[in-house]
Amino acid sequence: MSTTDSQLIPDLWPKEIVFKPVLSPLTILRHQARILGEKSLGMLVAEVGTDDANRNFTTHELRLIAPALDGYTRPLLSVEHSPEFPYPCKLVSEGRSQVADSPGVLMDILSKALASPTTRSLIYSLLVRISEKASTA
Amino acid sequence: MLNFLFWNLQRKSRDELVVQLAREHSADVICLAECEAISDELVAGLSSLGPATFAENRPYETGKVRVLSRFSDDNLHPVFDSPNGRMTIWRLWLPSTDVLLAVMHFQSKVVWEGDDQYEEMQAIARYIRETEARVEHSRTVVFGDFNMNPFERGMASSHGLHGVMTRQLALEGSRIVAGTEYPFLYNPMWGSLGDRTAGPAGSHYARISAPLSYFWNTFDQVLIRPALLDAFPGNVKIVDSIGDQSLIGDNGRIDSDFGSDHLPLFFSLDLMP
Repeated sequence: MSTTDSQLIPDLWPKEIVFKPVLSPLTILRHQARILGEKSLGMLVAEVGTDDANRNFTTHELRLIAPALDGYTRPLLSVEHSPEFPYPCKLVSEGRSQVADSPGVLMDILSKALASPTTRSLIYSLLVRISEKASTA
Repeated sequence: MLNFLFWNLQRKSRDELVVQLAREHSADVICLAECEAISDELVAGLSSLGPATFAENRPYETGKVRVLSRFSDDNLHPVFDSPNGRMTIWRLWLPSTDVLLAVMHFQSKVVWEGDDQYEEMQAIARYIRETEARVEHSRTVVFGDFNMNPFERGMASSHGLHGVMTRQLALEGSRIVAGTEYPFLYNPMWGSLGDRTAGPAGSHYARISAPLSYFWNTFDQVLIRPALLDAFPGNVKIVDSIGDQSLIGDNGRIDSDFGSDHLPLFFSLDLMP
């Protein structure tokens, strides 16, 4: 490209695309899973299960686990994307789905899903059951 | 013998019938779908049957299936709930073993197409396999209202529940399809279709105006993993009467005014030492 071309043709790429290492949905979910275990001192942990049996999309599921309750497990939400491209992805939570075309958008809607009344109620219910079990043991 | 009852109550209060049903079948575990509430009268009525009292396990969480039993929460508790609450897997600890009870109230054909049911059943089957892997055994019984007949894809396909029609087939353990191994379940309900069986022609009746109507459906089923087949002598039946009252009307259809639009399901497992 000549200097003349650069002067005549502007940079048409979107400003919000930052060319640096990008987080995948799986990495973001695994990080949240690890944080939960640390924050709850192991009372609750989480795992991410990946299902790629379907050739059209890969699904990562974030599951809540209560080790003290015989490993009681409850899927919280899932993120789907095509096997080739992690974005756009679709976050499915409480029967609703939202599309994210970037890590930033995914983290935004993920934070809302993790803070939903249903998720809060589930976490508090499990903590109550864990406390009750500990007090009767 | 441990005796199990499952009944979809169609959101009707049927406390007296449930108590009578439990008495006639010496029920140890009762699972109720479309049950609006567990009344004190129901728990008291069941407990009056003796010898052990009945209680609702996990009464503070109202899922799609309510579980009442003679077992304490320590001996019978949930280990998995599907995201929409339509399947819940319980672990039953007994003196000599433990088993998984996967109880289902699956999505209705009223709102879901057959393809939708099949896709969702693939997820359900995977959840069951993953829970079995977590507890490191497959002594599992899967039962409830599947809203599918035994011959439908979600029930019979390897990617679904993989319910086969003979005990001998199930004892082969598993089958490899396209390079992946899928465990079998024995589905004895294949033997309960139509009127050449000992019981009613199905567990649910619907006369629909579409070209294909089966009229009678066997939606309420029990399926057993090979690892638990020694404990399943074959005691399973769709219940069509309680006391001297038939749950089927004079017109040959289920009398939902008296009972529900589903018939109760009874089965036994020989698990006690």
